[in-house]
Amino acid sequence: MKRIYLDHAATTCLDSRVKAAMEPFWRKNFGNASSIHKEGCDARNALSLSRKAVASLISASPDEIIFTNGGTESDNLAIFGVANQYKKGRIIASKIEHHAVLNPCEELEKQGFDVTYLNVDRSGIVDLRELKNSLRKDTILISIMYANNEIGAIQPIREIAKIIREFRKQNPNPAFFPFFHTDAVQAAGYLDLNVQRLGVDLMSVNASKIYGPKGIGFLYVRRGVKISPLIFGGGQERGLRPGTENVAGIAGLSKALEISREEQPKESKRLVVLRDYLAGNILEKIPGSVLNGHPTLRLPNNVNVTISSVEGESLVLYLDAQGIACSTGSACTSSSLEPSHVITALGKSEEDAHCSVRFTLGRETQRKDIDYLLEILPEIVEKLRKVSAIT
Amino acid sequence: MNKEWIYSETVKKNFFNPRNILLREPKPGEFDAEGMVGNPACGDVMKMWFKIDPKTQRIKKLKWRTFGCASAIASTSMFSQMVAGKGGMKLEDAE
Repeated sequence: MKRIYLDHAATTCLDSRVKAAMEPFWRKNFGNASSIHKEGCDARNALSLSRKAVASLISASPDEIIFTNGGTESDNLAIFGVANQYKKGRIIASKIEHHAVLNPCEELEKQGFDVTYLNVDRSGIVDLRELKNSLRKDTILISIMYANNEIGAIQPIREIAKIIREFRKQNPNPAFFPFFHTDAVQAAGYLDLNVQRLGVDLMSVNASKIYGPKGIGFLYVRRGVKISPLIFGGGQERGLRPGTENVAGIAGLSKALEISREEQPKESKRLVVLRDYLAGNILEKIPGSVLNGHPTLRLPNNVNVTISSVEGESLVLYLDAQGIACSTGSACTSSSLEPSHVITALGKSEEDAHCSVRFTLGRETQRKDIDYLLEILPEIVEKLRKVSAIT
Repeated sequence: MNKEWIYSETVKKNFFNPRNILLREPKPGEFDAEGMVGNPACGDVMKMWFKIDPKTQRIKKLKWRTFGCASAIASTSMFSQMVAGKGGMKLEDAE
């Protein structure tokens, strides 16, 4: 059976151009970038080229790029990295952050830090007034994601950065200086990543969501922002992320970012049309369906709907049996049995969260794939509603 | 083991082809008992209808509908076969 992959927010396939860019580093140029011989120099040169390329693509300097093993590690490094510098203070995060941000925050609460969790409105956007009112003299870090992984809601990062800058000006406090971190893992393929324009101090990016390899990402750390390392070793990545560099992965990340930056404007336009076509048709064809998130302030590839009386996991598995891969905020098989914290943060019920399903489109997605989904989805919904004990 | 599906084969079979589902509203007097358990907020609700044989005091028929994940649907299907199968479970055992 032909498979239609509509779960690009989970991960993407490896672009063949990225694979080609990684090829030299498995057998030919395999050296350790810390070695002083030719093999080491070759690896070091490749690493340096990739770092320069990545930095330039986000308008940063090469020394501001710390390669990590992915989004979760970048988020952890940003949050614990800042917290361990200050040893105490207040952190602000939105309620709809990824668990890679929320769980470090919860851990820091146990260690004595204060954490404020910002509400979002019904469409998933952070309330800027609440943010302004939450900033305190002892605030050390604000972590607000660029675009949400479940509902695709895009946060006003530039406005948030401006509020934080103004707060710093009005409250000069050398003991506590609040830094602004954003998890840009989902945004990286589609939105502006220019850190100067965005005004962020720390930014997490991951290759495996932008058609790059898994197990590689980076944290942008603005010059002057002091963070502590999470692990200790040979001093690579300015001592902030020691360990022999994954040169192949880093070359892949660099290439993937280059391609996605280049193709982003055209691809975003194409996907917005498909996204709105899919969302519009679901709402029209399926009674009792509601779009979760913002109609326009959302990632070009994200459709998240609640379909009443239809449990998300069952729907995902029936679609899977018909060749479609998608995902849900309800998760019996995942490590968490809790319904999506993102859907409930929108003011929706836990039942609505259990009935949510997410389709995330990608480079291979064509209109005929969407048409096939729209053809089979109403039948499956009808079947599951007949089986369902609730209406 | 190389699994092609997230749950076991038994779950798969009962999830895609659930047995003893009541796909319509029950007729008056069609069943002797009914019950519902679960909570949509927790992600599972099961509703069941029973037909009891007054002479043998056994469950002759068990029909159901479930809102829930694959394992919830499959296990209700399996449960209905276990309870109503093999002449039906005795009421005293079901209590």
